[in-house]
Amino acid sequence: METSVLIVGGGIIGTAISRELSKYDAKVTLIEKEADIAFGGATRANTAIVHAGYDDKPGTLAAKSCPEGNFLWSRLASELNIPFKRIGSLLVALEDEDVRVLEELMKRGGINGVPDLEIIQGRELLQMEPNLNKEAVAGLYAPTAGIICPYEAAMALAENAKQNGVQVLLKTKATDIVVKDGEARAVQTNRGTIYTRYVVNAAGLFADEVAAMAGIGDFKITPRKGEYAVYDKDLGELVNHVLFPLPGPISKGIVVTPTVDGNIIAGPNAYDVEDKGDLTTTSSGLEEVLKGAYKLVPELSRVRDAVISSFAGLRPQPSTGDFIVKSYREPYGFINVAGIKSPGLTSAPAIAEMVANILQEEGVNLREKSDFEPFREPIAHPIRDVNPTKAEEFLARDRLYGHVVCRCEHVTEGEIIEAIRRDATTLDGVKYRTRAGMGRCQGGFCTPHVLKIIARELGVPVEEVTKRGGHSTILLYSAKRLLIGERDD
Amino acid sequence: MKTETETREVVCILCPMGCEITVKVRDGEILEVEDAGCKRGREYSIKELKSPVRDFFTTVRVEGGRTPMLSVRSTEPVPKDMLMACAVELAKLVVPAPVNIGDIIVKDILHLGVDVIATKGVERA
Amino acid sequence: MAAALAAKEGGVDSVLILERNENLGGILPQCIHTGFGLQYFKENLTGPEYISRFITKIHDLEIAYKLETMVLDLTPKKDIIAVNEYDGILRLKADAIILAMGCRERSRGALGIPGTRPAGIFTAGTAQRLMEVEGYVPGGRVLVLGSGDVGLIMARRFAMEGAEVKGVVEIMPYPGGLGRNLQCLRDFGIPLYLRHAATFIHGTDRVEAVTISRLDENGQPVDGEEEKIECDTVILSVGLIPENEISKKAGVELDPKTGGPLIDENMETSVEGIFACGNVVHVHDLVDHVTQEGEEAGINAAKKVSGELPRLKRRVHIMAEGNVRYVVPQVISGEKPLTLYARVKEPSFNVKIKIGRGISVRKRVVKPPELVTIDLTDERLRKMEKKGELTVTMST
Repeated sequence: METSVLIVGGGIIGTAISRELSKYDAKVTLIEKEADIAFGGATRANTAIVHAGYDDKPGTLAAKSCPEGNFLWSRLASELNIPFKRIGSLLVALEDEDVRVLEELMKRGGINGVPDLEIIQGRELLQMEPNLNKEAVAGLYAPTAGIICPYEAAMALAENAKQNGVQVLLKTKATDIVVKDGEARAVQTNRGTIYTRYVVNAAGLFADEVAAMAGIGDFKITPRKGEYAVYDKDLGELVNHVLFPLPGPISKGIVVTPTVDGNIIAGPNAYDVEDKGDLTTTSSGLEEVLKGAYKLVPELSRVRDAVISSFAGLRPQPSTGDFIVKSYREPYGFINVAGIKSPGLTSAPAIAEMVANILQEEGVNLREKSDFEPFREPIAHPIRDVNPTKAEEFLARDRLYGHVVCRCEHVTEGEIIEAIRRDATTLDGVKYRTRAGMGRCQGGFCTPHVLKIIARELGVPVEEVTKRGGHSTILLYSAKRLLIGERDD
Repeated sequence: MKTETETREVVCILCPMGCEITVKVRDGEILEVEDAGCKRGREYSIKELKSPVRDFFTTVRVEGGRTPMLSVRSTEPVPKDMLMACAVELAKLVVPAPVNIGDIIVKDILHLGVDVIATKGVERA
Repeated sequence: MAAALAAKEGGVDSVLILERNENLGGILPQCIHTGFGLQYFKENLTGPEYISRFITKIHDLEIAYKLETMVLDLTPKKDIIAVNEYDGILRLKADAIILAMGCRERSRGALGIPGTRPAGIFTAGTAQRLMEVEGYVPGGRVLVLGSGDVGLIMARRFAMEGAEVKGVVEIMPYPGGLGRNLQCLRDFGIPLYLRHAATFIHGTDRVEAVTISRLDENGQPVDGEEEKIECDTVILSVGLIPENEISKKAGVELDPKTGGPLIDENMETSVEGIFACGNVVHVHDLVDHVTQEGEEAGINAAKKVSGELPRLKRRVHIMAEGNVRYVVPQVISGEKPLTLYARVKEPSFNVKIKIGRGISVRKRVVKPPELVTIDLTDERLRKMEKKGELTVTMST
């Protein structure tokens, strides 16, 4: 197989780069080792925030790309038809002596180009956020901060990239990179060799391993785990903004925020782990996250029962301390886009533009496509969005949108089929595209139904449907097999 | 050969009391029943030791039906130690649709003098 | 269905059942085990047999029903919005509503069991649906968390389908299920780990093992008392939660102790004309009680429609205290004989249950898995104190 630009990694960065490059006349291929986009450890498990950009040290790539990315997300979210809510953030000082930190961050934000930062005092703070800890002294208000769904964004970016000609290959893992005469020539994968002129390494947690395949060893990625607790949508308007504590030495601290889907999440904590696949949650981790949450919103301590789920993500912490977005002389044709931890999600659109520029500088003639289609149709949720009149119009066209399968989130068979049409082949793939299984019963009711629909649409036996690819099969035996073994019926 | 007296424990399930009944047996003969809260419990514990029985119920595969499985039960309880044998016997079966509730699926299963009947109907697909 | 039948027989012409599943019957069609109807029919039936009798009557009385229909909204004025594939959006208005939505199961996420997120973790009811209706055995080496009835029943079914059941893990020092269901542990040699909890789930793609730990008196894991049990499947039977999303939409007041609506002796909720019965009100152990509640709700809904059932004038609130976790109904008039249902927190023997100071009832044994019935006969009601609030307490 041959391509011009091969992007390794289907997380938010890889998909953002794909979509950006799909505006131009180059042949682009994206490979992702898991069964679906965003199935890795960072894109689908983070705080889902589009940051304002005052945190990062001025002069760093993170500091340059974050406010720019924040700005770009408005248009991008609207073109991709994904929900993005600019609810603003409050970084809260609970002690008088911490107010100077707010002032420092505000100054830093100014240097980084973050607009409209303001320090809000006690009384007004509580008006903005009635359930905030009453001991809050002041808060740094950043109106440009917002919330988004990171895996929905990555999946939408990949869909739009595909719409515009990008080839997306799932379950395709880079195993080696062929460097000849000082040039990266091809990427060997578990499904064959792909010849390419340029390799863009956006492999997240494994970016250092992919770089090593090309003989590059100037950075290392350490997985830094963060655990989260998810609250029931029932909590309603308990929290209005993204709430930050004072930043810690290695992370932004335990946040409490509404999600774009209406839940509240708390987290993350931060500690380094050895295994890049270690997405385990711990009881001490959950307690730490909840304690941090209670400091910001004490009311949460009274609704422990409203926690419906918990999860963990891994930040790809770079040994260099900052984002790595650069091309190399040796080997030529290799671009690293690595160590994109927080504010990676926010910076993604800006980083994508940076990569396009680098390719331009490397001599790739990027001619704009005349037929680039920026708009992506979202999967419709006529019942979930509870607009009976709008739903009636939709149902007249496709009545399967009237068969509710996930009762907690009101997801219909029509949406599930559409998700499968858009490359979902697993239970989690359907879950991330439709929210089926993310409600209060966590898939208890809908899982048998979703499994059957996936099997039917893909023409495979139900026993072959997995949770998220690999060996994550859900049903191990069909009826009676354990009692009488395999038979030729 | 001198035979031994065996002491066995039976937990009665007939009522919420859940009496733990002690039964002394020798040579298959009941010698003594202790700690039974009532006469029914006493009788139950003796039956449990002499010839324990259980309700038998499982599913059977269906061919050509609206649903792939048919729930079935035995018309009378079966000996406890024959439960798995009955399960294996029925596992070999594939019943053609349609099936009506009450239909005899297997007559006199494993010569136990008990039938296996359908507990639901399955229409043809 | 019992409610619908009672309402129809009570004189209501137009009765409609809205059911989200593809069959009538709720959870019973997948409960293929025996033990149903011992009181109601004086027979020992399986779930499907029990429910088929009601389905037959529904057809005989020509009661209308819609399947695979999801109720999306319910207002206090009893306006309903529902949807299904064939009718599209349904907008309905009713003179009386009977809520009978049952329960959902508590999930692994809600419990917060640490560890990985592998495939192979199922709640007992989901595993039951997959096994009995869809025809799959989800796994071959199974660990059951929770010794409630559903978990014990699935332990037996997994064993009968040829799986190895590694054990049943229970956090309390006593089991949560009925005696008849605990029997399967002895029958199949399944270890029961009382005072234990799962502390970690292992396995990347699929469950590989579960670490369980003995607990101290405060319910905390004891260091050094862990055991790693290898398995490929985890079955959760850790609690049922009455499913009241629609009740909340209708403004129905809920009782935090039951998780269900506050009801009076007519099964009427805080919203006039909206009745509730069955597991949506409180978690039952016998379908016979559920059926009786349904009939009561149906009879009263019929009376409401014909104008013969005013709101209770005298409202005596029954409060549960001490070893009594909850009491249903929570509001009575004291003028009509009825059966009170109570659930206790801990097992006890030879107890005296007091309602206020006037009523006293003796029970030989009370256990959490078995609902306690208290018959408030005319005689007992005559002794009831004339207060707005009465407390139910228990002493030995």
